[in-house]
Amino acid sequence: MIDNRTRPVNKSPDAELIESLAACATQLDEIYADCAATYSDFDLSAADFREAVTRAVNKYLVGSAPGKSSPSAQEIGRFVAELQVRDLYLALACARGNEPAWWEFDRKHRSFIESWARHLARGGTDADEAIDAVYVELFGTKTVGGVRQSKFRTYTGRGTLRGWLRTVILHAVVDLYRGQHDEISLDDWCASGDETRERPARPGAMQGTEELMMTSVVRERYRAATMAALDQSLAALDEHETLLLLYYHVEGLKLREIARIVEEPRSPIRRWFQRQSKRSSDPPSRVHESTVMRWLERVYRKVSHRFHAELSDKHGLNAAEIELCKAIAAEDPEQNVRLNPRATENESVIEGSS
Amino acid sequence: MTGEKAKKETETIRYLVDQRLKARVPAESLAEPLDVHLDEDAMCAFVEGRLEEAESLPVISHLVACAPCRYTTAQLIRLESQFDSGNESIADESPEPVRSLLERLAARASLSFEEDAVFAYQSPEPDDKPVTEETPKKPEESK
Repeated sequence: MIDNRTRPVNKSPDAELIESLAACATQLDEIYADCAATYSDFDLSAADFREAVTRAVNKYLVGSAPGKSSPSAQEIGRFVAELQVRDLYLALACARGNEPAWWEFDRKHRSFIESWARHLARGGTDADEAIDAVYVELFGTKTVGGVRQSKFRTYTGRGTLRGWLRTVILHAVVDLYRGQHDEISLDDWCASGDETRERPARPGAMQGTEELMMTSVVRERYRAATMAALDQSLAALDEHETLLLLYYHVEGLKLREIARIVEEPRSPIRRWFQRQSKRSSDPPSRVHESTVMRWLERVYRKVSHRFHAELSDKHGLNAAEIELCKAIAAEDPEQNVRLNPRATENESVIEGSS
Repeated sequence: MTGEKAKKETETIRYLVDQRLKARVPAESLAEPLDVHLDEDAMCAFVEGRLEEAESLPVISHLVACAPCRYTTAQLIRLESQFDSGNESIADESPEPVRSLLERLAARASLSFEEDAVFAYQSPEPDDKPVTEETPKKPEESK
């Protein structure tokens, strides 16, 4: 079914890609035949189907890794096998305006679209408008080169049609709200769930740093060093780590929600997470909130280690000054901080108020 | 470092990370507004965990840098866990309502429609192609 011969040399990437795609022709024909048998009245040609698959290959296997050599026939074969081919077939037929395809789409997904839109828009006329906007976008109202630009044309089958629809509906609802309000906070209308996530509170030790004072110049020096060290420490993290930190701290995802994306069996984040956990003898067959919390704590320790090293090695600060840096960074804006500029490592630079 | 001291240190760093990440996001968004965003297809594939590691790397890099896309994917992750998608029934209707729906959609084709999404990994349509509003026609004719 798939030609696994070694890749020819001295060929252009385009020629290699065409050759690799050609090697998967039988696989594609089989998939097409299966879809065409399932949806016999969708009137979609094999050529149109192949073209859509080629677009998906170009988008994910070629376009996502510029500079990388063309994907092999084996890689393309695996990619094609993972596509949601029936969803793709249905979407392509809908993009062409095929009525039986629209009937099938409407039958299968209308109640999902309505439920999701009502959930997001909290019912009422907004939901009806959103549903209407989604259908209009799916059908397409603009033509380019004589081809109606149906939103379905952008679906590649990499994810499920339902998942794709969810995203389209979310965008439609956000656009609708943006049209109504200058500023829109999705949190205003997205239920936050019943789990209360523990927000990082200002540490007690920092609150105990009572009315300290220092000159603004020295204070600014420590603050700048602290921010630079913290930024360096964060920049040194793996991008997976950074993204999960951003999801947790900035986007407010709860531990169980992060556990959910890490738990997804096929997720690259899971594979990465498993490798991290394996290193620390904590194999996550199933990821629980506590596992994510332990992982977060490891990341904080990593940041802390780097943060101290940066302040010490790059900025030449002693342990007491590093403590002061943390106090400054964590303080309330109103808090008074006093510095003893002659402090050495062995004496506290932070003095309580008299 | 004692357990208590280590715990306090983690708490402090956690707080600093929290404050720093939150403070950086608006500044970064203003400094380097990204003009290319992930499309629905890529977001869905990412959230569903369908991307291979090599495919996901540029997506993860984008999400680290792009607050709007990260926000949308976070919403999808959050909402998915709240929304029970198993409750929708499959409609059992004749094709007639769909026919009228398509006719209605085709009739609206004369309205101007701005495309919002920017597709991160697709070549855009050439700018020099003429963009015309579609003349309303029956769905059968658009096949």
